[in-house]
Amino acid sequence: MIRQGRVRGSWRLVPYIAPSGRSQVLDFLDSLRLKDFPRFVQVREVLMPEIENRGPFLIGPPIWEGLGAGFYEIRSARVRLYCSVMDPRLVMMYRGVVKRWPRFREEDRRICQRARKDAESDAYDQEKREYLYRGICKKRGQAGPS
Amino acid sequence: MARLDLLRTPYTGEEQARLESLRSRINVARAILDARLSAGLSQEEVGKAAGTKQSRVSEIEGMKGNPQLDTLDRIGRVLGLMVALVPVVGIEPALPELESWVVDSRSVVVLTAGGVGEHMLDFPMGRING
Repeated sequence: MIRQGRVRGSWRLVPYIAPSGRSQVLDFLDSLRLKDFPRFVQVREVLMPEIENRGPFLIGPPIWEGLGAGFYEIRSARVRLYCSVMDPRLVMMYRGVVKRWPRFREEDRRICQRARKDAESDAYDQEKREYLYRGICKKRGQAGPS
Repeated sequence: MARLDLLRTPYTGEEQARLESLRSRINVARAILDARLSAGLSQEEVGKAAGTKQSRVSEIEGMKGNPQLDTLDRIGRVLGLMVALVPVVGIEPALPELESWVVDSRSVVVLTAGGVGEHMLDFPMGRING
């Protein structure tokens, strides 16, 4: 863990959106918002700004933990947001879970690997995926992101 | 890749009210986390220096539990912070007799200081007391 120095700046947290326009991590955060609002608030108002301002590697454990093979998790109590770091200064979030098991499950790892492969491909366009996601929100009758 | 606000959908009116009830916890968690990371200290190191457990620091940063004022004070002092209650514009006092005091207090200048940023408050006591 890098513990010296301080690089304030421009890290971005970005939710992965599948080619279908669905986003497990955004759905997870929506459900957390309903089921455990204080936890949601802690993630959104305390952890996310800190990661964006400081960068994940200056935060380190127990909030930011490495899982191997380039995957990391953002931790808040039993909430886990699985992600990877992409250039430039971007944290792509693939999956959110409420952890009830000791390790990074193989099933979650496989899902994250598949998502990362897609996110790293030239075909991945965040703006287009966002458009698809908004379409799904509309169909569901949700307001979606503003 | 364009900057998205998918992670920051606006709070509903009901959520805003709940958020306000969590405001103190959010402020304390942010202040402790920010100061600890700026100092390059682990939760364990802060806990040890404050004579408490790592789990207490984790609880405060995680907006969990109900930390004792004394514990919060000791952890804060390790990080160069002190616990303070400050009058805030927008919070109406429950007791009507405090109204004039609060009106006066609206002239309070809240300054940010380096390091801890927006969480470290510096205010002139004379102006608070009129």
